[in-house]
Amino acid sequence: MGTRLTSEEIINSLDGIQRAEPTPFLYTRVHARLLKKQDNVFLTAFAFITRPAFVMALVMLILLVNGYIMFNRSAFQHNQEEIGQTIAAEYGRQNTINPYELNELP
Amino acid sequence: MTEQELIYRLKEGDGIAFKHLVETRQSLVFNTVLGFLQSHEDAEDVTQDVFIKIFESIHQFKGESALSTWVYRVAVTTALEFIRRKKRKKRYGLLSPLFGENNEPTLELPDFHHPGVKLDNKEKASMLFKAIKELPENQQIAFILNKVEGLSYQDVAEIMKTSLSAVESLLHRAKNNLREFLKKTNNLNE
Repeated sequence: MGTRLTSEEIINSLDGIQRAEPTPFLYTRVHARLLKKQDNVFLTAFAFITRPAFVMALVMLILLVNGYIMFNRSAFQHNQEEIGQTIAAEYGRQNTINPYELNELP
Repeated sequence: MTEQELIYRLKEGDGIAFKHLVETRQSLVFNTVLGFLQSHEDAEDVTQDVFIKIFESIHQFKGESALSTWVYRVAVTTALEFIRRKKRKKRYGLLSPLFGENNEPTLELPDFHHPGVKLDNKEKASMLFKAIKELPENQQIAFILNKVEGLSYQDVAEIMKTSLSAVESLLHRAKNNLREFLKKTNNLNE
């Protein structure tokens, strides 16, 4: 540079600056990126749920839940039977009224 | 379309309203971002990022400030995030060392020439943009919004969510720092 500058001249060099123009079709580009992003969300979700690890984990979870329900049901049935037998044992002889014995009342 | 109507329709996900927003605010966003990034290509990409962010987070806009103020905030935040990300990448880049033995850059980036600067000011503006990069973030924001975007102190204060006196102080310190940096690097007259 021929002449020596002052810092003030440099700091004031932006006075009267004009606006820069972005390249045309900005909206089209933004719109395309938004669509791509939405597609990517579905693709990412699909890729995740079809991963072998995810599928295996899901199968294991289903088997575990199934096993838990089966175990609980058999335990419940066993309990029901036991209760039934106990009630029958406790009340069977004392409270059962046999209709054929009605005439035999003292 | 009034601003209230535009905000309402944007929150409803209206495509026409979004197109209107992009078309009316693209110059604002692009110029703000360009001031920070000092690269036409990066500014184009980040401008698109800004509008995508606006589209996705418009429901967070509570209407406490003007829509343009909020758009400025998103633009500034996105531009600064981009710069930080770029710096981080450079710092940990393995391909080529950016700094030599005395911490001097081995790769000089080309000077930035803002397309809106008058021809006889091009060289000076280029020196100034180089110096702006050296400012602390807050001073950089205040200086760019005031000097490049031409916003008033009041507008800058609203965008930065600070007081008028804080903006004045930031600009004062920014100019002092710029003077020092320019003197140091360019051997200037005083």
